[in-house]
Amino acid sequence: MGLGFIKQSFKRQIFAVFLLVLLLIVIPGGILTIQTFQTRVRIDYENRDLEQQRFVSDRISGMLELSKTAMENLSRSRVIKEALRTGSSNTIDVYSELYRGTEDIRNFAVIELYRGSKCRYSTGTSNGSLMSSDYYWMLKEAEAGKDVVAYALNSSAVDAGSSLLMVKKVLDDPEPCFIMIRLSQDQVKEQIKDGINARDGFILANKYLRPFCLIGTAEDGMVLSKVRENLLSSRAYNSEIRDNVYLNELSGTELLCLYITPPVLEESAVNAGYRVLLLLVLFGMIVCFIAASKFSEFFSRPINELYRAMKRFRKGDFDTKIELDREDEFQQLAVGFNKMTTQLKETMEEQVRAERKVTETRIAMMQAQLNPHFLYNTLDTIKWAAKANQVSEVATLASSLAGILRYSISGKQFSPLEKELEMIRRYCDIQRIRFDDCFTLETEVSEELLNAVVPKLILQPLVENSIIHGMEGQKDGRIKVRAFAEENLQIDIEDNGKGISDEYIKALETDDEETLKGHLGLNNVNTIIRMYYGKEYGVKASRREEGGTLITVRVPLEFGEINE
Amino acid sequence: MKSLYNIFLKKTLTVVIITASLFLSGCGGNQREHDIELLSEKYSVPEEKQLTVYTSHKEEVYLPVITEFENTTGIWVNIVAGGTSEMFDLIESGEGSDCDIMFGGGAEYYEAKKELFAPFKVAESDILDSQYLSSEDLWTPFTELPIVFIYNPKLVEKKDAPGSWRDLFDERFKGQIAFADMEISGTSYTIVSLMSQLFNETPEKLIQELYEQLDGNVLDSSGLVIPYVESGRCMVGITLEETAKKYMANGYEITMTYPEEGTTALPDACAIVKDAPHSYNAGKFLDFIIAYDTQKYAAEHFHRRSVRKDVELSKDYEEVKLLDFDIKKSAADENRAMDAWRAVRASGREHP
Repeated sequence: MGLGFIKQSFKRQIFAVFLLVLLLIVIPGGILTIQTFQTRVRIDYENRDLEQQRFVSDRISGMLELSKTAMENLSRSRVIKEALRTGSSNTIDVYSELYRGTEDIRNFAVIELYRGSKCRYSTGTSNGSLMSSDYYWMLKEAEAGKDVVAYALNSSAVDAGSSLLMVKKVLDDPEPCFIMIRLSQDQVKEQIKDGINARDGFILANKYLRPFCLIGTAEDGMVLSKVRENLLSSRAYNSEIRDNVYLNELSGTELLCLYITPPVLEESAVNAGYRVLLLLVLFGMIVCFIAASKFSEFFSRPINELYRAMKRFRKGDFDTKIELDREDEFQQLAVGFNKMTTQLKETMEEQVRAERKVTETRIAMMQAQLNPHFLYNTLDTIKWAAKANQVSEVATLASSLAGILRYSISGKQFSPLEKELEMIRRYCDIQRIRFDDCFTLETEVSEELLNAVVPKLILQPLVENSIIHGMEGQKDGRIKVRAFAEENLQIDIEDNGKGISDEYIKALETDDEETLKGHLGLNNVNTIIRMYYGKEYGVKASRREEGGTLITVRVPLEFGEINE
Repeated sequence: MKSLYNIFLKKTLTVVIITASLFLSGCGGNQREHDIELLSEKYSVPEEKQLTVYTSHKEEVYLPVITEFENTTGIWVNIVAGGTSEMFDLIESGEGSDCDIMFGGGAEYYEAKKELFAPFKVAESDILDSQYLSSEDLWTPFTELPIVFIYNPKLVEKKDAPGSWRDLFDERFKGQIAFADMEISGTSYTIVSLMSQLFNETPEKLIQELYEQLDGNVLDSSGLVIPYVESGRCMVGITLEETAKKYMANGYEITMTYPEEGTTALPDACAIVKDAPHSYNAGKFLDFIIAYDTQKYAAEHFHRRSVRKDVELSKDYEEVKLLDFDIKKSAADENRAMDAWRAVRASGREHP
């Protein structure tokens, strides 16, 4: 239904096409732009976040590295080894050695030297001795040879974090002696807090994601437990977390760093983008609608004009013209239309003129037929009266005239050639009496052509012409009528009179009615034939070499019934 | 011709759009996604390395134990923490179907809900104090928590301090005993049950007597017992040794004595839930909590007594004389006792 509805109107079609193009360009384009923007911004922020994370983890790595170096150095120190072995030494010497060796790390770490479970020397506040379970745990870790371990079983840490410890066994004899470096959560925090933005969070955890240190937005532990849950259910570690989580391993340790930043583009920013796009589409639709209206008007106005002009023309206003003030194809169309109407008008007018002419000729002929029945009956009476009085010439005259009259008043417009020939014979009978037998008529027409159909009364005026203009003063005039068929029917009327003048021949060719006034018959026949059959038919006249005139009538060769 | 052109146009357009979107959205994010995938894969935990523990212990108890369990075994533990009855309800209702093991809560809870658990015999069961073992190995004890008396040394002289369970019923302590509501505190019921077994009285009768002795003075939580005694609102109190020790370590001035007749030390237990998804790891967990290191640690850090015979008591703990306490009977009597308790409380409120 929709497609049909659109197809019904030019405007709707244009609107639909505009809309389609708009939607195809604006919507994918807009979405693409938003997505690209989002992606670009996300990537930029991610890179910044990663840098931040690298900074923080490098800081921690650095702390651990320094601690490790310090521990290596202390473990090689003779003074310290001696002090731990004997258990009694010059405290000042030991401490100065201890402090010298730990200059780099003392601002974030506490270094303790243990002999057995007793803490002998400490850079911080010594807590005397270890509980035996802690001591055994330390022993175990030191033997495992791990550099950095998380001190997990640390009941003093009531919150979710605990200390980072490094343990190294220095001596085994007489008692196991250790160097222990303790990086408490607070000190780690202190060291890295300037690397963490206000809205970010940071987590330092062991490989089972048990935290040592939760900073900033990560303090509540929600993100950590979510990451843990994701890993337990074999999902991507950051799935279903709104914040960006960057997990990385702290090289050389089994520790994990998690850097947490809030989502770059809030949902609302992206939504705003889509809202703008929606507005853009709506605006575009309105523009499309207006453009379609204007555009269709631009196209449909000339078309409508053309349509209206055609309608006017159809109703008979042949003066219809289209006026367009344009230069495009529509202008050409309008010019073509105007030319067509002009030509059509001319043709019509010509046709009307021709018809009027036929009618006038007919009227003239009919006016000439003055009460023919009365004349006919009178002639008949004359014929019988002549016969009774034995005046044979009068009888012949009357009889022939009657025949001519009857033929000429019959309503038929066409007649067989045979009748035409009979007609001229009767006519010549009369004229012979009138002109004292000074000419003869000879006809030469083959049998089959006698039935050819020709317009009525075309031969009599021509024969009359020959007799009146050609036989003047002649004693043995001859008129010969021949008919033969090529593709058309040609009828020649020859006489041996004085011959037609050049003036008339020319007048006949150019339809000069003024000159032909005296030869009205000739001209009339020519006109009638041309009206019936067209310009290529008609009457031609020429002078014969041996003297006299040859008039040639050309009509199409037709046979058949003759209708009223 | 026209339709052919249209099809061509549409195809071109589609290809252009798809290519553009792929190009624009695809580039850049790949490295990060790759990293995420890599780390997620590396640290993702297979089922056989997982264990879900429901615990009613406090964080300071369960977290060090579980963290060390993870470090030792490489098994990731998913912790769900809450009150004992809450956890039991979750397991019973089926909501806690992911639960492998229940950690914490008095053994009597486990006895009462036997049907929820699957028996497991820990590897070192012969070194555990047989007194605390479940006869059917349905649960495994973690630590033992003897019930003790406390008194405020500023108000009560040492010679006047309650020495035996009987002493509590002296006229001088009437209305002076800090005792938590039995409906809230599981320990309070254990105390009542112990006294009823000790005096050979029905729980109803004992509750009647006790309530009269309390003189309507019932605390809303077991956590209030020590603060009440310390602040002098009550002269004496009955509580767990662990709680008393913890408060004393934090500087509370109270004195703790062990009842002369003896006392009971209800073990807090741990058990594998029936049809646990990771029962093999749950077994490892049970072995871990009674391991020497863990027990030693618990004794040193949690003020709890080890259930292992080879973990010697530290010097500030006395040997306790343990009464022959019938856990099963106690569990069976619980509903009766609760009804009686509610009844006396209701009448107490009506006739103050």
